[in-house]
Amino acid sequence: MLFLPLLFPLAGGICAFLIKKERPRNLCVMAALILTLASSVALCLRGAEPVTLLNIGGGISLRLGIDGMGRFFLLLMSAVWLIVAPFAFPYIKHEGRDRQFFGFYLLTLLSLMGLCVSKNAVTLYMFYELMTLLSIPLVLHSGTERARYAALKYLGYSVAGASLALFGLFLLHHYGGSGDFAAGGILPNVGSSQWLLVLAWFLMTLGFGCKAGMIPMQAWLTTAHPVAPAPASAVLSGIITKAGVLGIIRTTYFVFGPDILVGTWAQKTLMILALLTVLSGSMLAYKEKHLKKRLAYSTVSQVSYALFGLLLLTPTGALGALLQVFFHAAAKDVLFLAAGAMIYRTGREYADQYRGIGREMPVTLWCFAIGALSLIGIPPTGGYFSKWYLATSAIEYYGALGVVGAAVLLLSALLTAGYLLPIVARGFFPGRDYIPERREVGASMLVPMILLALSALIPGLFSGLLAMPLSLLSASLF
Amino acid sequence: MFLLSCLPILLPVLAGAFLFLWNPESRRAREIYVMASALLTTSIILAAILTTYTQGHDATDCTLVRFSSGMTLSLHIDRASMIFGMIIAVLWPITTAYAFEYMKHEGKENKFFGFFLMSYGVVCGIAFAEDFLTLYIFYEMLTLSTLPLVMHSLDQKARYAGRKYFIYSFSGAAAVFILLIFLMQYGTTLNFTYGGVLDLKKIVGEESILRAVFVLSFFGFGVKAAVFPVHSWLPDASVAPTPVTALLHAVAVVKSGVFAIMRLIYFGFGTEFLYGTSAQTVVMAAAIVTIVFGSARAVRAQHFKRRLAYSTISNLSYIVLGFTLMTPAGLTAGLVHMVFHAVLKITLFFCAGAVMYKTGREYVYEMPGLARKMPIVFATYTVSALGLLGLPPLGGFVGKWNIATASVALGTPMGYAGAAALIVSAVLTVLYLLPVTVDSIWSRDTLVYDDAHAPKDPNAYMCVPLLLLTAGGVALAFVSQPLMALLSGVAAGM
Repeated sequence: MLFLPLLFPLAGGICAFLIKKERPRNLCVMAALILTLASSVALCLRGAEPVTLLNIGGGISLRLGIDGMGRFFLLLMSAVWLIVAPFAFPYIKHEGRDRQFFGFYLLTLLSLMGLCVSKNAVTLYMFYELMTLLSIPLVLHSGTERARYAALKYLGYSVAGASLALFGLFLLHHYGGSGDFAAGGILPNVGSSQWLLVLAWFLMTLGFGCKAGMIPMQAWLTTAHPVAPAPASAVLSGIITKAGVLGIIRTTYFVFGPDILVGTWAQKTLMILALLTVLSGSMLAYKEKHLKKRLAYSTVSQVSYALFGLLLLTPTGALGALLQVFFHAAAKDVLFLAAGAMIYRTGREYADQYRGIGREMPVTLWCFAIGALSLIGIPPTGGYFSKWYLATSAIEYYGALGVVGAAVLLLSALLTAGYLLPIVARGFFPGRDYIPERREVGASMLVPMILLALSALIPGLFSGLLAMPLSLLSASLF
Repeated sequence: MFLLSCLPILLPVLAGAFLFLWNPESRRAREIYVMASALLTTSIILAAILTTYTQGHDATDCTLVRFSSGMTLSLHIDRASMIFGMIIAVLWPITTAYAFEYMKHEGKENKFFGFFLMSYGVVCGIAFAEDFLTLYIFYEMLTLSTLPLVMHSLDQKARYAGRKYFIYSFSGAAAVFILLIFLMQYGTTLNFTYGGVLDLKKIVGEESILRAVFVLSFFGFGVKAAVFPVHSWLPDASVAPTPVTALLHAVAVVKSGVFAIMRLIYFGFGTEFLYGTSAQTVVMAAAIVTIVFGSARAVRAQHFKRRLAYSTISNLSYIVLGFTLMTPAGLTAGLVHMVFHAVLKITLFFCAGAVMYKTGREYVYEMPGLARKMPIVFATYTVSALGLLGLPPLGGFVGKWNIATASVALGTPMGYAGAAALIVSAVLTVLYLLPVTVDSIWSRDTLVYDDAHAPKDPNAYMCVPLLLLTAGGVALAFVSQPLMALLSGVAAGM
């Protein structure tokens, strides 16, 4: 049961490499993705006993298992992967090298599925490294000198991040930190060695924070994401950054446990780093003119909202973070896809070139607008709820730092509005002397965008739908 | 049964010497003869190891020469010998097959294979040596028998590399000679004894000078193990033909140095005498510096084989770091990395050699687009590179994990520094290995070939060893637990 969500993308990926004809290949990709989602749903409903894959010498083993947190990420990732795929079919056909793209697209999903069902930190690390290696070809896709540079930067930063995490694991192993994950932490009371563990946590969070684009290891993100083809940048920004978040959740709540971390210097430092990232990301996005790059800076800022929530180490903060993970995934994916669609049709890449685009590609721009509203956090879109929980929990628990945090979130929301809404406004209201020509994209690109826009909107309208199970999940962490 | 341990030394040395006398013209005759000798030696080694494993450690003891009652040239197979013997017994015939094809373009094959066979016997002697004197003698012979291989092409660069190798090696051996004198004075015996041979009564008051001798002889053996600052012969020696750089400079010669360091620490001075002293700090620091230094230089090196040579320097010091921890866990960890690094690095060198052989390209920036022409070579390269850079559960990770956790378990700042050095080096490893893969597959600016002259994968002589080694490296990773159990026997004094 546990293996199915890993096997389907593997089989699909291999088929994608081998099948030369376009139609059967696309069918095969879709079939693999649907089966992956179906098997994920089945796994989430039925659960499964943990399995040991391999015992490695040195007292560690590779183990798979499923729990509440795994279920959330498993469903989120496999669903988004499925939704984005139809968008990619025409888009990648236009870029060329289809087989390579879809092969690695599916193999990357394999590593993500593995990440969700990892039962201990070593297994997590393995899939994390695999994810980096398998997603590199997505960045490299065009094979230009710029793509090569971006890919190597991505590789270097990611490996440095993962290695920091591994270093933390080296320190932890001695204290039993490489055992099975369990909510609330697995470390025994360690007394005098606490400083070492806190240091290890600090390093691991910084390391996993690299994929999530947290300062000080954020620089790769805005180089690598815009270079990839639009569907790839969508999943890189929307989902793969969340793998870093998952890494932090696993180490913080399932290895260390909040109890030994609350109030330490490491927590405060990391919170400040997350807030700095939120603010600087938004400011840089505001300044950036290149649309995909602007969205990448926005990712830097938005993912750190979730990190900030996690670092509060309170149930409400964790709930806000999980909601943010979900809504940012939906909103950022729709934004990247819409941006990709606009670039695909017009060839324009800069944010100030989209005058009148709302007349030409109305559905696309509507989807873009909904994504933008959710990202800013305007009710009733989903983003509003995640930000609400984040801000209130910050103020509730953390005197001065909490208030500063809430203020930063608010300021960043204003900046977000500043860098996204003008595109929408100018797109719908180009002024008088403008003659639009219809150039809306086809259904296979529209449907993914609409679905993602709806998923950013609907759970917001019926907020209990998502908040109920997630609040149970976040409460179980403590 | 004593024949089982002395034949694998005598047979290849005599077979190699006979090749010089015979000097066959026919390529086919030479290949059959060399391969038969290598395979025969391998099977005797394996038989010896198996016999010792089943019948106890004294089953194959053998004294070759007796100088006096305390000084003998004698062989004994213990657990550590088995490990080292196994590595070379498996890799030597595979490399021989590769060399048949590779040496076509270097020429002077009779001379090459003669010395190549002789080195086999000598390395075997190092693996099976029972005491420091025997180890020392074979160690010197190893330098002599491999020197002609390094200088094979006899051009300016090769002669320079050979001279450097010669001077470094003999200086190191001189330091080891001093060790012999001190051990005879202060030790109970020259025979390897787990836990050390020092006579506790005699050493009272002389501890500091003995520790100084330890550090001196550590760097003496460290020459072959390429420990900073006595490492620089190794990158220069990468001018040697690829089978030599692959087998001798990634496995046999350098691992002899590492192996000797292991003998020195655990079977000579003993961990009890050294643990926690400034001597340990010095040697650990040397290993840590080498780990980072080697990787950093590898990133900068543009010559493919030179880059791999620097990588070897770094990885050898992973092993040395494991040994200098002076704990049973450190010993086991070092040995496990020794096994994995041997298999992975020889494959990487074979790939570099295959590219050189088929296209004449020696620099990493000359690789663009080649993977599409030589898929087998670059596929095996990539798999082995992933193994070396430590993707779990492949070999490099197992070694790194065990060394680092053993290092952290010391609980001292130096221990933490060791783990940190491994992490830094791991990042650098990715940066010097993977760009080759990336460029070879994705780079667009491929040179245009007409179909007749496009480079292809080499023939079976080269491809089969590559595939075998890659498969072996991966398979080995999946039995890492039993392997570790076997290796921990060394730390149990077996």
